[in-house]
Amino acid sequence: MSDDARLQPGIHHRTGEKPPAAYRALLLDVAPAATPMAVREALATLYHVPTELARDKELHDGLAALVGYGRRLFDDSVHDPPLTRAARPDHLAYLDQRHNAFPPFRWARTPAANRGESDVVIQLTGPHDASVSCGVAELVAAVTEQGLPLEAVAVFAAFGRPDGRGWLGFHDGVSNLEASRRPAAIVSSGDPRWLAGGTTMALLRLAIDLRTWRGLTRAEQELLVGRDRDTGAPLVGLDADGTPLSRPSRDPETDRLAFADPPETTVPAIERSHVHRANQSRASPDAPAALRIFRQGYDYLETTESGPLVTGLNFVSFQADLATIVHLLHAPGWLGDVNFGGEPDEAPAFIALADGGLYVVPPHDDPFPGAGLFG
Amino acid sequence: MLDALGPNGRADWGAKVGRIAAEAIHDRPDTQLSLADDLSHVVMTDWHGLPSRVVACAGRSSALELLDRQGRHGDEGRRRMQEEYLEWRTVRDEAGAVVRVELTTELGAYWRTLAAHEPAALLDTVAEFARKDRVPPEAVFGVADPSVLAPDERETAFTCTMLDVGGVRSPYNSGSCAICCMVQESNTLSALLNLAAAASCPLTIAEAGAAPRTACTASDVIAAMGGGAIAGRASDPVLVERLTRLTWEGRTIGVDDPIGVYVAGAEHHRLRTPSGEPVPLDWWRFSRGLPAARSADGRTRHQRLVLEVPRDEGCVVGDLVDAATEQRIEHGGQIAELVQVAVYLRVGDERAVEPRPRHAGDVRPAATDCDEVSAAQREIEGNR
Repeated sequence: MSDDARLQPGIHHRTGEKPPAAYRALLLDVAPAATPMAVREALATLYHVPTELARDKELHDGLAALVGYGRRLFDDSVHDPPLTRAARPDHLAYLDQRHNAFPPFRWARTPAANRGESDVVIQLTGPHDASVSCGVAELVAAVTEQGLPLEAVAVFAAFGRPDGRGWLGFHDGVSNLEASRRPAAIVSSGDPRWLAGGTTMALLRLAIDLRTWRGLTRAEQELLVGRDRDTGAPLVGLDADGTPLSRPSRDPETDRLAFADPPETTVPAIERSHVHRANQSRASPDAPAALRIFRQGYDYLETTESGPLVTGLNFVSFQADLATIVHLLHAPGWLGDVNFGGEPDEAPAFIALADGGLYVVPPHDDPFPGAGLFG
Repeated sequence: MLDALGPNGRADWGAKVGRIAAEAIHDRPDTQLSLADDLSHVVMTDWHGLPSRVVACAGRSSALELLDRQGRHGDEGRRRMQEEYLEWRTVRDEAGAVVRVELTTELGAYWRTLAAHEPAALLDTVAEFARKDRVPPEAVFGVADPSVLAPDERETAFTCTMLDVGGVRSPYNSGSCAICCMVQESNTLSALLNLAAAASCPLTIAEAGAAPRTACTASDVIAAMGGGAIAGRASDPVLVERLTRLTWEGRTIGVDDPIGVYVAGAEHHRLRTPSGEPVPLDWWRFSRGLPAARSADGRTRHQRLVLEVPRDEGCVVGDLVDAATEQRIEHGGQIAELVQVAVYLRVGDERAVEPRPRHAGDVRPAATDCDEVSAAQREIEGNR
């Protein structure tokens, strides 16, 4: 059995696998006074819904459902009776809404009204919007029509781009680990034991101020990112005018692998770029301090009642231990002292945290992942 | 860092570093580690100070307790398990609440040099760390008047008294009254330089019958090195991979001047006061080195960090909460987890040297050795 054999579907990390184009996250809270047994039965019922949908190959071929549990599920001050006696992983914590939950990002709304924390999250990934939208609709219908002790509290929609680029106009995910190394970064070894073979997930809705971003010159953008905007090639130096230089592109297919790990740099401006900060040592997951994660982000577009359109990144990362993403977003010199890249206190800030939560994603279990949490 | 040493002390320190480095290089003819002093680029490698191997093997909550464990001769948890080039002392009040955490990356070799050449300054520093007007010289040098000894005798006297001899140390470096410099067996200048020399050797490996391939991941390189680095630690694997990578890029590698292990920063945003406010940065006192603003290359080089709440704030460190875990601070390891430890390397240009790889044969990837942690745990339990 390989390391990742017990991971839930919906983590598209294997060789040759690309995350499907459409994404939804349905966030559910448990109804007040619900018993662990009632919740267990409700989740078993709910987990069956995507399985049934997947029989419809025309609409749902490739639909994958993943179940995660948030800090709230372990909160005995919210749940009476308590929903689980299982140990809470140490870094499964609420995001601080009074202050920046992570130093780089201010909250997008003041006061923060975070919709990203819930007892349960069900992530659906599928080939197109119709599939994941129908999936969410059927899940919510099951809750209401069958009177399950759950309440849908938020739905997050997002999409992938066929060109592999994000709102910033750059290739996204180029630095993701090579497929064979991903299980070592993703799969939890078991602290607490019930999580062994599973993983953890950070779900952060990062609002991007495109006006600020597009006000930067191409060279400024490339220095903040650390890559060439057209090819995704890592920057290797600056010319006499300070214009970033990158390695030439050859073939898009082989480039992606070749460009994944930027070479060592001794140029301070490049050292401070996002790709270097996010992956300081470029070491493999064999090195715990390398802080490697597997990113599976999607973009989103939202309308608000009062304001303009919101463009953003639905950042999703999977990592063996939530401590990894916490360190990555707190450590100075990594991403803890800058909004995205560049020099602390000088670089432009154009990303804010709109919503977010940390989740644990238990391994396969019967009748659903995490069933053992409920006794 | 070397300000406290006079000309003789500096020369002695330089000679010590040079001798250990030369031995490490001599033993490994393929190494790209060099004593050259014209390598202008600085590269930093950092890690977190909470020992990741101990956490992985014992579980985080047990590890935190073990790392602070006291024995008959002082801080046994520190002596056996604080293996990330960062050691700490957890100071508690009568009720057991944490009132202060003192962390150091200072090398024993440097303190030995200080003892040899600047005994009075050393005694002042120990007194400062112990928060006393003065400390008895016997407790630091084993003799009432160290000035009558020759420098090498003083160094030996200091080593026998303050550094680890069969687990017995002066209370001024056992955590009872103070912590001055590191004592864990692998937190040494020699270990660091030997690791650097070994990891700067380009290596290839091959599974049986397969063509040789570059050893580049920590598991492969640590196994192929045949000692000198430990898998599962925070420090060794990331240092090994960084050095390996630089080596294969054809760079000459040198050590920073002055060589040392440094506190590069702390995730201070994570700590909250009892009222939920972020802990002010000035509750963290960085010392023994240079802040970024005073450093020639703009990089932080501190070697000591103390977290303590000012007296008039009405709370102690044990009342603070790590927002990322929602846990009160009950152990020094929770603070070590927030601390970034760093080593600076000096490197030459890419493709300046041609790597000459040595084939290490068929090696099994190194895995985290929990037996060693368990053995240390048993020894600590037996030493209470």
